[in-house]
Amino acid sequence: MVLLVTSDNEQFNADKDVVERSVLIKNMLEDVGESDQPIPLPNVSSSVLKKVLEYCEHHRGEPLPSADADQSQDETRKRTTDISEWDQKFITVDQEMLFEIILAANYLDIKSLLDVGCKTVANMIKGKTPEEIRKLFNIVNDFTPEEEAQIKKENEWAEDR
Amino acid sequence: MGTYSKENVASPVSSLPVEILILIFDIYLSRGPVFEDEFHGYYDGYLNSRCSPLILMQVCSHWRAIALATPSLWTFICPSYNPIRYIRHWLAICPKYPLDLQLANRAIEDVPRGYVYAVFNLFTKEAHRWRSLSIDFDHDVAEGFVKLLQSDRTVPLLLEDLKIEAFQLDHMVPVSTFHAIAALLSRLKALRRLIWVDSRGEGPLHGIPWSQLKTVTIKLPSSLEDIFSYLSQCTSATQVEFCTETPLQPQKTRLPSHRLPPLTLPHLTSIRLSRGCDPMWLLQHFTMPSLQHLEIGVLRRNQPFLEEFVKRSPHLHTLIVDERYHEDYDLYVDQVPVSDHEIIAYLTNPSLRAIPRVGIDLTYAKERTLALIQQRLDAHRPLPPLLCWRPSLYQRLVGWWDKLDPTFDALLFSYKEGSVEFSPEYEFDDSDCLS
Repeated sequence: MVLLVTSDNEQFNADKDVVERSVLIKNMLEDVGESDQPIPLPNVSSSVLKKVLEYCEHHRGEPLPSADADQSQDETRKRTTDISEWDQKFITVDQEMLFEIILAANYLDIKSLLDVGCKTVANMIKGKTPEEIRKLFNIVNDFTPEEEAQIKKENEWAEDR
Repeated sequence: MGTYSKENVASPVSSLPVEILILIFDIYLSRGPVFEDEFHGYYDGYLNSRCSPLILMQVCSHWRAIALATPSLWTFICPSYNPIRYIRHWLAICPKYPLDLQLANRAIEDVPRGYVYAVFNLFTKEAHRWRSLSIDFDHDVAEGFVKLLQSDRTVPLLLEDLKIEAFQLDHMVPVSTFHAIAALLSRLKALRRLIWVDSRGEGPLHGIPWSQLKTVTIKLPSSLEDIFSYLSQCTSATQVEFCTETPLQPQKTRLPSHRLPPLTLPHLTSIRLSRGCDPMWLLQHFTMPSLQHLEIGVLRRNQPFLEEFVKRSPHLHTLIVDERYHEDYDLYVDQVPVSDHEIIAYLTNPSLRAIPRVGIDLTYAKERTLALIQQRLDAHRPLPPLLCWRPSLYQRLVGWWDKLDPTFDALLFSYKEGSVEFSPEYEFDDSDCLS
């Protein structure tokens, strides 16, 4: 078992083969060797780590992407926005949690979870207009008048089709 | 690329760092699997105005800055009857990024004939930043490509990857135009990968800068003598494929009678030679010390050539021999069907057994092979462990393989220590294809 400590000082015990889906934790364990020392995760809160561990538990035993995976494999991985049914259900959370899971997956170096998170965001913006995207993420239109004029000019291609 | 403005720091999305936003943008622009392209894998990269970096850059100033500074969002263009103005606008947004272009007639065949040529003309204005080009030629586009290569002003000097495919439905491209293109390719000094697909065309292709190419795929009816000539010049190549699907006349499957020099291709790691020209006869002339992957088709086998070649290839990891024999083929070529003795020789040859992955494609002789294995059981002369599997609908391989891929390979039966074990797939295997 491995003891993890979150940013809000909660402790989580988890199986080694579950937490080792995180390349960061795997490397830490390899560096320190056999030890009972807790692993601090200052960038991950308890509510997020709980979700991350749920994901790792579900995918326990699945092959990890190799460290020397070439760029083309990486490209192929990116070029599909399909998400498995379980992952889709898992990632159906509010926006704040979604972005925190993405940040945690990035920090902990869990490629497959980072993919699920990024694909979910990508799917959310697919087919939407700029205005719809702004509304979705509560983004304010902050363009200067000059930029607005430039955008209007850029959109001229769509006129007189 | 800056950060969000103060109006937008409260948005949850503002917590994502730039590199993750770029990853999301890249995924947003990737499309579902539609067709396989040698340059881009499975890709449906058609321009789509409802899913485009042009939309991302209108969301807020931070997204605009990121979109404009991320070349991967802009480089790949595959039009699908998009307005010409839209493509022109796209090209103008980031005028310095390299371009990976795909202009496929088959993808847009319902559009007016002039559309493809108009898009091609638009692309030619940016020829100085072409990095890869995958193009189906019709008559007009092929002629335009010749002119482009001829002019010092327009020749795409940065082009690294070129895929040419003949689109021969209505508007035939004369063979002479293809030969003119081949002769001009040496002007592309950066060219490293060439894919040439023209199943109805004809060789020889003179002038191709074979020695500068790293990857070569030629799918064009070519005589054995032509392929010998092309291959002997592939001195920098790591991957080569010469595919002649249409069986050739017997005289085109012979090498010249005069003595040919022995040749070494030091960098080649993978070679595929389809059987139309009977390429087994090339092997005696070549040494490929780095070779890891060999796929070769057979009309008239010569197992000693193969064995000697394998002995000269110490890093060979995968060998696939296409021994599919079908009597219909006899109408065109003088192939010789594999004998029982030769099947056993393949399966027991110590030089071949030393290779981790060997598959002999015995699609039309699978039942015969099974009978041979069983006969050897009765005769107390058992064979080494064997597998029979189906890697694709039209292939039945017999041999040994360190690890089958369950996504593609269906095991039909296995043989080990005197017993044959059939998998459930065996029952459902298409027997018409096998005997």
